[in-house]
Amino acid sequence: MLTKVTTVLLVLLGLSGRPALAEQSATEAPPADHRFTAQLGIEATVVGFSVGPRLDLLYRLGGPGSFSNLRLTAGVLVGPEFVYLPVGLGYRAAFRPTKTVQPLVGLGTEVHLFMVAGHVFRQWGVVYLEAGSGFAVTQRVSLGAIATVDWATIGEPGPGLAARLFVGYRF
Amino acid sequence: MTFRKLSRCLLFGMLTSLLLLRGDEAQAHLPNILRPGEVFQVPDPLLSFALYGTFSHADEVFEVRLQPETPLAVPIEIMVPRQDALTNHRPLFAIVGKGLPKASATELAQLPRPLPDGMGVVLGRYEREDREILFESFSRRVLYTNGVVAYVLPAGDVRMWVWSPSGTTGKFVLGFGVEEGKQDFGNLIANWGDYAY
Repeated sequence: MLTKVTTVLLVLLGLSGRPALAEQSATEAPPADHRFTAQLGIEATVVGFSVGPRLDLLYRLGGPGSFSNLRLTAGVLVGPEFVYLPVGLGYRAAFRPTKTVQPLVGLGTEVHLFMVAGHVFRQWGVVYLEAGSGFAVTQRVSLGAIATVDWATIGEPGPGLAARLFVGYRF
Repeated sequence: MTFRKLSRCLLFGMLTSLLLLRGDEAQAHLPNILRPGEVFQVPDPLLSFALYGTFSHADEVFEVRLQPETPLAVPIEIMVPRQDALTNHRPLFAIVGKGLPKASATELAQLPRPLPDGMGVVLGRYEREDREILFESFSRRVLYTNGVVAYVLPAGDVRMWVWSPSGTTGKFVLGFGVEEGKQDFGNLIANWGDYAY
């Protein structure tokens, strides 16, 4: 049993340190400098249930080695009691962009609009924190998962918790 | 400051923010679960509660008991999730206790069970056909409400009954009280399915 666990751990460690598959075959030319990343995700909110698409647009700040990104985000999530429209601006640190496993953390602010019967019924501003990881499929395409917590600081106070699966594309 | 240093500062700020986002000091209405056939005993009538229940059958009755030491004015409302399936779900509540008005024949016919000897009753009514909607910010729920009305509870043994006069089934929340209390996060997590969806 111990041997099996050790083997699994070693395989995972090996994967996490391994360059992306596509990068291995792209040794003949230096990789293009892609400053932008678009991520389309399916998000589910755990506090106040709703599900729907969310789009993130990331702009890398600094040179090719920088992990800093500016993040613009918007989504449309539908729940049994409301339609939830988040719009936000934030900072995201995305590490190891040339590796298979690409951890990320971020923080920022969002405006949340809650629509009931076609009208904006409640709106507030939140501060959010996010953490997750992307997994390289090719040099430009990745899949990933992110968890987000937030706290409404403008308007009525309240917590938020959401999870998201995404596909990302660098350009 | 170089850009790399600025990035590291931002990362440090994020980690610090995680430490500051403590929720255990949050004050709010105390949530709990109501179950048919069981009595929910209110530990402190000065605190406010949001009690979540579900009518699985039309004839179920939910009961809450509290013991004010002196007559106490308490706002009470009954809420229902604002969902299409619950548009006609309008549970009713009654306050039962000594010193409350004697029940009329009409009221007695509406009550889900006989009044205990010597006790009077006040029925919480829907004064309007259309219902107000409220947004509960801690659970991010949108709820119909019959509207908050303050009732004077007598001292001593006071009971609140909740039933479904039209025989509809579904979820409801009985909200009452004024003073917010410290949250029990173990309870919140254990019963999150009842509170949030």
